Amino acid sequence: MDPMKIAVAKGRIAEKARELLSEGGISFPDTLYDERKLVISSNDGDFQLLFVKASDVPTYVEKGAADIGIVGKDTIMEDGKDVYELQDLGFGQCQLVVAGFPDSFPEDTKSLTVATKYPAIAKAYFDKAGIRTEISRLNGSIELAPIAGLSDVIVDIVETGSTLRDNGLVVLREIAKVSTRVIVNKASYATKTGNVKKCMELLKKGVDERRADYHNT
Amino acid sequence: MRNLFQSAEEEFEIREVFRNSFSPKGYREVNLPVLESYETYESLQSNQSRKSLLKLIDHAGDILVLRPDVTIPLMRELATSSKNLSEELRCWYVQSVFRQSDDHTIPTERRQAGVELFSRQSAVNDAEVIVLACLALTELGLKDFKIELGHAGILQELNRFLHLTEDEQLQVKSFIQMKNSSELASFLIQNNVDKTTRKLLLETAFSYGEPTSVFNRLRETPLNEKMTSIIQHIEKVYERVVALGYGSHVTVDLGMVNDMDYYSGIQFQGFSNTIGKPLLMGGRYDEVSRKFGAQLPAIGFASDVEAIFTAKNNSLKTN
Repeated sequence: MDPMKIAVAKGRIAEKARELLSEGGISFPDTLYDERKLVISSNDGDFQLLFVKASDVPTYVEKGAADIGIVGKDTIMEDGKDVYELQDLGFGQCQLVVAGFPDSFPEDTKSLTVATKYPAIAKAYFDKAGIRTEISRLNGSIELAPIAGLSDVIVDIVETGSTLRDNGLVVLREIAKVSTRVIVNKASYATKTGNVKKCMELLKKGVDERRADYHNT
Repeated sequence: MRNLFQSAEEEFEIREVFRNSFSPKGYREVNLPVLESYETYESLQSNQSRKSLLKLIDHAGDILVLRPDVTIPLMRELATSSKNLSEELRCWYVQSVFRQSDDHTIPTERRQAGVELFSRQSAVNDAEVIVLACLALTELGLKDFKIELGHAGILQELNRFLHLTEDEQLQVKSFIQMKNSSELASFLIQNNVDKTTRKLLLETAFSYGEPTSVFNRLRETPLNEKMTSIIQHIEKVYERVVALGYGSHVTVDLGMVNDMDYYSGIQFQGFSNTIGKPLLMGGRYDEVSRKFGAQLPAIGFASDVEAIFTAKNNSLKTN
């Protein structure tokens, strides 16, 4: 059979994916630790991990260059690609929030300036709330925007909130809960149903075992 | 960039296949105007799809659109001459359609090759069009394709169960469309849907796979009358497709949600293992003609010509 191609973000998610699959019985050679490798195949040849930038995972999956992708819910929401979202792996938990100074977002707000890595999510959220926005797209150090006077508020993901606190910012609204999800190309789901389901079971098994371990310790 | 000559050859090839395969079955080619009145689409489409229309203004100040599909103009054209279905009508076409998107990498003009059968809903009529789709793909040289079979009535039934606001309905629709069972489950819990109903909804909305095993599983699920009759209809259509020799290509997907809101009965999508996007989409749309003051039930499909030839070329490369 053709190998199942799984697109993952380099780093933490790639490492987790490899762990989950190996707990399900799919082992990979140690070359995973070679930073320059872009593709590695499992020892049985049935699976391939493609290392891509996190924000590119949905594109690879929508176009079918990868059958499966493992990526954060925030990226899925921002991209709005036409894919299936089959599983919540439960790790990488954080929140997508509106943050700013404590008085930046009063109840009767009519318009706001917003800085974010997630312009689509921000626009959808504020449009629904009936608030007019001017959105600036940033690529990093989002917390700086309100401090430097670039925007009233930011839309970003927070894990512990310590970066916000250190800069005198607070969470003003919660938009969504985020965790790592498994997405699947629609044609792969239709034409390789058995293999996709097998892969989902392996990942699920890894996740369940982890949950059991966590509860036992 | 696709070669200009190659593109013309492909169009010629797909026309030949459609003509040779469908003429003996009574289908005739149609041509439709490229320009359509904006009013035709105004009431038919969602906000999002209205935005995708390419508009222009004529000398009288009226808004025109470049046709975003063939189905609607054909229906409008037929409805002006006949208000009722006096006899069945069979058509096919290869025509360009125009849709604009925020994503500039998606071409605005795409060629569609499709079929429309104006006839009342029956397993025989519905299966006829699905079999034509299989026949066309086979004749075009595609082998490992799958036709997913669903039904617009399923989502309608689920919504009737749930008494949701319009916003919540959209949410449920998007969970089902993305096969996101975990989030739909938590949504149902949040909305105080009892456990039995929850199980029932999740089981039907995410039923997917080899038709016989899906139907067998559903026979053990306690469904209401409407749901049972929908599933019986899908089963009859499937049996008919099997009898005509294409059963191995069919998969059942009860959670199929189409962005085209006008489908009212059976709906289907075709995929190949050599391209990531759908080759074709279709379904029954019995209510559309009412908007034009007629009663013309119909079923059809439209295939994406570029997708079909990309799939074909990719499969030649790998073999």
